[in-house]
Amino acid sequence: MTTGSTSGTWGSARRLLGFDLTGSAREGANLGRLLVLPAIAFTAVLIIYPLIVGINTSLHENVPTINAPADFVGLENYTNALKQPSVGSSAVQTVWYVLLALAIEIPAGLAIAALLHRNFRGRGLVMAVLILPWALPSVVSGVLWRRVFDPDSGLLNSALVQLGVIGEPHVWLADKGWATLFIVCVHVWGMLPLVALVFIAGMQAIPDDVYAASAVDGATPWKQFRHITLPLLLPSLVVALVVGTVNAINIFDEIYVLNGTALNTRSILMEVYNQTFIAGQFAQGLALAILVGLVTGALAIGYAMLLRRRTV
Amino acid sequence: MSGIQLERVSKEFPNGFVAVDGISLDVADGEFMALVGPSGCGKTTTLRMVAGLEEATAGTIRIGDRDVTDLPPRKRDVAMVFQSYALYAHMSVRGNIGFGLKMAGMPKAEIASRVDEAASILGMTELLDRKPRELSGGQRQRVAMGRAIVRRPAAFLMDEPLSNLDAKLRVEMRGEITALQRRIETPTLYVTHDQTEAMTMGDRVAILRDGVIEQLGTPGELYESPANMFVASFIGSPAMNLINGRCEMVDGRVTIAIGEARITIPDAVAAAHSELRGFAGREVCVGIRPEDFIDVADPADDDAVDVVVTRSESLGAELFVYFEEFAHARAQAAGAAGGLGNVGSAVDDLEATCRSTMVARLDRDCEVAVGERCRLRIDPTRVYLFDPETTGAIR
Amino acid sequence: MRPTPAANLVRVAGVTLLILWSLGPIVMGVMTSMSTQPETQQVPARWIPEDPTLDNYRALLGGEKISSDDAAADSSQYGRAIVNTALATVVTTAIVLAISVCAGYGFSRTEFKGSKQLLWIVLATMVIPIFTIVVALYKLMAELQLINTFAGLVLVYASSTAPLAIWLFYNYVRDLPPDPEEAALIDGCTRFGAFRRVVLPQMRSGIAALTAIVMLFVWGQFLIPLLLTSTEETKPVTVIITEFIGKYTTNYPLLTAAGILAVIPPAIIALVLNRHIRGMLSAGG
Repeated sequence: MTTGSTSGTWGSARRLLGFDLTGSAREGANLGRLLVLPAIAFTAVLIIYPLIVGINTSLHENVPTINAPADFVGLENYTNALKQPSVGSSAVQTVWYVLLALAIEIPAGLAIAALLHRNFRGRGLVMAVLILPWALPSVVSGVLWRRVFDPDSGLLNSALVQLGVIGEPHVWLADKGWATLFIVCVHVWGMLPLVALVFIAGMQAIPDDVYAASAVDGATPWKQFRHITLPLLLPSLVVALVVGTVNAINIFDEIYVLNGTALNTRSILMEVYNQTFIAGQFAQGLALAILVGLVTGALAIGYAMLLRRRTV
Repeated sequence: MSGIQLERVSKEFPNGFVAVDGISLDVADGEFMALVGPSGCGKTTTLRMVAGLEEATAGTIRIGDRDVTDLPPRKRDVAMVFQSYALYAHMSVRGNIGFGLKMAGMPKAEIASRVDEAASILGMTELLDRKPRELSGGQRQRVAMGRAIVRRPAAFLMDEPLSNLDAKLRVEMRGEITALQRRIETPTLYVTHDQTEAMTMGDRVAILRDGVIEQLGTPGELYESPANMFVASFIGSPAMNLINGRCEMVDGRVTIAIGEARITIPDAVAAAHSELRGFAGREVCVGIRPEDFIDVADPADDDAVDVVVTRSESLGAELFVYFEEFAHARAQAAGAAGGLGNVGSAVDDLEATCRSTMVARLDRDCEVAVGERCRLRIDPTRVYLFDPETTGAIR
Repeated sequence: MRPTPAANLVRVAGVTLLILWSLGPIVMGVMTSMSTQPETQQVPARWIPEDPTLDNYRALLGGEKISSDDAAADSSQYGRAIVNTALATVVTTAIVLAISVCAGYGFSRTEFKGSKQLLWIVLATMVIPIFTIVVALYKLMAELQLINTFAGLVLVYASSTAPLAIWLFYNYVRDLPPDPEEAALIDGCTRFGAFRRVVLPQMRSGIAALTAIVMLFVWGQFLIPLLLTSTEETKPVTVIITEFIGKYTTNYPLLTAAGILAVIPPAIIALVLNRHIRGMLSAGG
């Protein structure tokens, strides 16, 4: 025992100094450094460095050209950005996008997973079809859905008029509420496959025995879902929430294609786009973008902590 | 070539967990050494340190008289059979077996003849061009063996190589592996959690617990004279019954009282255990193997205990009789709070010993009835005695 | 457990609904793209073309000129854009694959001082909106004379896709059994030798999946090229399509054909490699 603990201390000391690597471990460490080097170099040059420059720019006065000297103004760009009415409205609009998207994606994803997680004839084919909308460029998704919402010859208006639900064609995308809902619909069309896949994987990780055992104990399918599937699916739920939230915060393409940069459906990133590239307010746009990044990161961390607290 | 030596080898993981705590082991040339113990005892870590897959945090490892402690696996001249077989899925059986030789830079013709030889030894010549996924579990196991023997290494390392096989094949392969190992006379370190496997295959067996060797010896030694209660209950199936008793001197003879039952230890046996007299008047832990209950006794017989049978199982050739402690001992245990509990906690990581159910293996002709009281005779020469404080055997 | 008839009915109904939802817009798009413009402007709307035509595709791919619009001028632009997208996709995928296969393996199978921290830094960059770095990137590209060049675009694509790819592959390798690699080490390989001869072949299906996923990601990129490309030599098809929307607002057949053509490659990738893609995406959790 004594030898053991002394050798343990000695071992930690050696490890701390990096002397204890046997040939193999040293080889592994060297290979590891070599293999991750390109990724690190890439990230450093093309993400970290521009990010630092971006943060720095956001703390300086806005100048028309990026290389011109600028005065340090602290957080002024941040406060100015937050004071803009369009920032407030697009932030609220983005919150709606996130909430609506999650409100559809989570239950629908669960339903699809419940439908598809067990094997049946033709399942492979259904799964292949399932991921198709996710695989398509979101710009094209928008294009495919555009004709549905067209006020004059749109498929939705035609169908509703013919069914007598509405009297005359409605300009859906001019109506903020409907436009929001339709944009979310197109967004969800592309994202739902991913959320469903996360849940399917989670459900497949639950051993069949658990279901068999509960069935023997007299649980109905609904009770099984409520008391077995849902609790065991919590990690998948967190992943789905992260995926759904981050993607909805970053919503851009679908709105751009369906309704341009119109204020009634403008998302926060679109506001950033407008400030930076249309209005030329680089510093202010950057400040806003950094805030969006911080909120996204905080949400991701929050979800992760939720998971940790619930499982411990 | 002269075996595998471990000298005070330790492994402390970065999180501070000491998996192996100063193990010393000497596997002689050509010897088959089984490492056995419950999960988490450090046996696999020990094997992986010998292979070079884990670095030892202290101690020295020698293979074939070479200090390999700081060498990478490829320079250690060892072959290893993994529990999962670890076959190269993208290579044929031939490619799998010949891979090590190819890495060693052996000429192609020689590789081919060595692979063919190994395949014929293992009886799988016709499988050489298949891919691993086209093989059954048993066949994959053979490929893994072939990959090891073809190298003619200084040492064989096997990590639970049979645990993924079904029971029948496992027993078959046990014999095949030992026969193969005898034939090629390469020192072998064999890790298993199955004491039957260790006892039937090993020339010697090392029993590990918590990173320490509890006892090292031939299967016969471990069975006949377990060093402590852990080894006693680990070796043998069903496990040894352990119960509290009291050592008494009656008319100058050592007598063990279990409840009201008295077992008189034969003088020759008592003489062989010099420490025993020191325990006079003290609690001891009594170990009785199921097979050392001789038969149903007359009420008048000595060296017998009264039990109430709770269950009996007939396996045809033998009869297992279960009972809850000894009938008298139970009454006593109620007063002397603890009783068997102490014994249980001393060996708490072994479920088998925590139970209060005891078992006897009797002749199939014995007549016992469930729920009835009966008297079982014990072979007094085969009673094991342990110090309940140290859990060590009383010598 | 045999499903009850009611459960079966629910399943059939659910699957039908799912297929309609997933394929409906695509099928409708194909229909629209084969209609004529007047057909799509009828009220009530016509869903199925009376006389399916491929004229819109021909116009886009540099065939006949469409009378009502000046599409012919744009047709070479569209073809060029498809080629741009395809080229950028292939080159970016090659770069991202090399980076992320190496890094994913390196982070999950080897250990060196700071490896965990480095991994977290790389992964954390996934939440950074492109706008926070795009201004500085523009500056950097300008200094390197890479504005409006293929190389510049590919570099930005790669840097924005690599973290996700590394994360996916890191998870994939973590779930892969380490035994074959260890067997190779014992069989005489160096760490690199084992990586090359045993681990890389072992990772084949993961590499296929990652290839497909990265290709799909890059093919659909819109925001980055919207910000960074302004010439026909670099604009990808997604940007061209949005420009078409501005020009041919109600020419749904032409717009939709442009969309359908642009989804053919990703749709093929998704269908052919769907099993691999699913495996890798669901392992990401």
